[in-house]
Amino acid sequence: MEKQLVQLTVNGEEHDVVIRPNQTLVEVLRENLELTGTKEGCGEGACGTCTVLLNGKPVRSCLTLAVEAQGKEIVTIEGLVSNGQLHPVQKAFIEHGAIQCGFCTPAMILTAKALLDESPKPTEEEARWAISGVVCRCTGYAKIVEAIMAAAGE
Amino acid sequence: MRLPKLEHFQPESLDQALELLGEHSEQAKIIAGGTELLVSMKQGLLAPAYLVNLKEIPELSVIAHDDEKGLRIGALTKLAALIESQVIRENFPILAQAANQVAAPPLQQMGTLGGNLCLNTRCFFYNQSRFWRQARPPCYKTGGEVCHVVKGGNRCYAVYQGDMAPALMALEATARIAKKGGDRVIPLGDLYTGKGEKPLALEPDEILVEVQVPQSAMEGGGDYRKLRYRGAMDFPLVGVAAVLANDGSGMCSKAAVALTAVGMAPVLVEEAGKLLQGQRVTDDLVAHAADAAHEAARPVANIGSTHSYRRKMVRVLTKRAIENAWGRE
Repeated sequence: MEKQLVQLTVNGEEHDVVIRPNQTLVEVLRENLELTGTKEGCGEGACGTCTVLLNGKPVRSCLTLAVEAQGKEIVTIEGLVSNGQLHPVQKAFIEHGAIQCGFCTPAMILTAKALLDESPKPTEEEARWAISGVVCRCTGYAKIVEAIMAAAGE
Repeated sequence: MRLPKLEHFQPESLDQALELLGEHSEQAKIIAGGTELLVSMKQGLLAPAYLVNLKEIPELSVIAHDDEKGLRIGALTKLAALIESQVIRENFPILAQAANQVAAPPLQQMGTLGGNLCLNTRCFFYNQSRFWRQARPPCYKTGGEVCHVVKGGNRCYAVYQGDMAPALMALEATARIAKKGGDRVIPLGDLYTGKGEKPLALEPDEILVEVQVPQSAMEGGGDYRKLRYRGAMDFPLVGVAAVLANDGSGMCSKAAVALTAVGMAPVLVEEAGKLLQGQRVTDDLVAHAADAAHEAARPVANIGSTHSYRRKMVRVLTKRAIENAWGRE
């Protein structure tokens, strides 16, 4: 198994990384690029906590090979801050107490951002369906949905 | 969880992919969405030395429809693309309906139609980590000679749980399978062997490239009903697809009912279709058709819930699917 050089565009920055072909995207983000905002939970695609945006769409980075992510725009939770300002969805999560242990939060926020980018005024039902692939083990869903709806109202 | 060692190939055309598969056949696996394959590899169920990645072959993710040839959907079409496709929503809405019930939105962004059709059969005792499985002797599915579900069983009863297959079978779909040196087209139902150990009638050097739905299937109304614990993520405990056409005078001119998650392969319930065809659709007749589906279902206790509850729900969901399909017609 030979290592290979790949170019990954993460949060708008290009990175040259030497990786093994069996490394998943979450492993490369956390271990090679030290972007530990992305969490690995189950590693089997069930919990959704490893969600990152690939060309604007939320995907499981634990089931994405890093070699496949070449040439695509990868956005992690670290990429949402611009000019030192938190993203409106992040602010709404803080204001509405939509964070308990915080482990699912990066995935919830990125999923919510992708939803709002696509449909800025979702119904509550649409918001619930959008985050249905991410598990909050603290079961704080009500506050999370409130925060998404508040961010959509801004 | 780490993936085992592998070499990754990224062919840019179908010919290249077939060439690679021909060369490495037994040691290679195709990767499309990866949402099932990579999990199986992490769990130590599969350890292909080579992965042939189909994601960069554009010809495999085309949705094409014309009034003569009907509908063609490339196997690499993402489930999300099926759900959003105007052509599908307007002419074959049951396909968008079924795709929208697979897993959850992020997995629909990754998972493909071909991947869903080619899902491996599943079982509580199989889809587990290597560590978990070590506690028991290997079963038929992992090369042993025992079934942990059916005591005294002499074969594997792992269940097929794809959501797309029943919807497509009710639409009389065919599958185009490519191999170096020639294609073959088979009824979709023939893609499934009915064997838990080896559920697909695909050779290691073959690729499912396309699904075709005849134009005549557009005539009917369709519905897909799925039983699961949660409104998202779960594989079906039972899935029922029904497609019915009205001849204009209130008679049913065509009917098909197909089931998933109640056996080692998806089943087309021919008896239900025969009962409805050429008849006025009454409550009694729907109940008879639902009985026929109940009769064709053979679930065993290898996924969530009990097999008797799942079998009872086949009758309930078949009734609802037929009524909804007829209502849309």
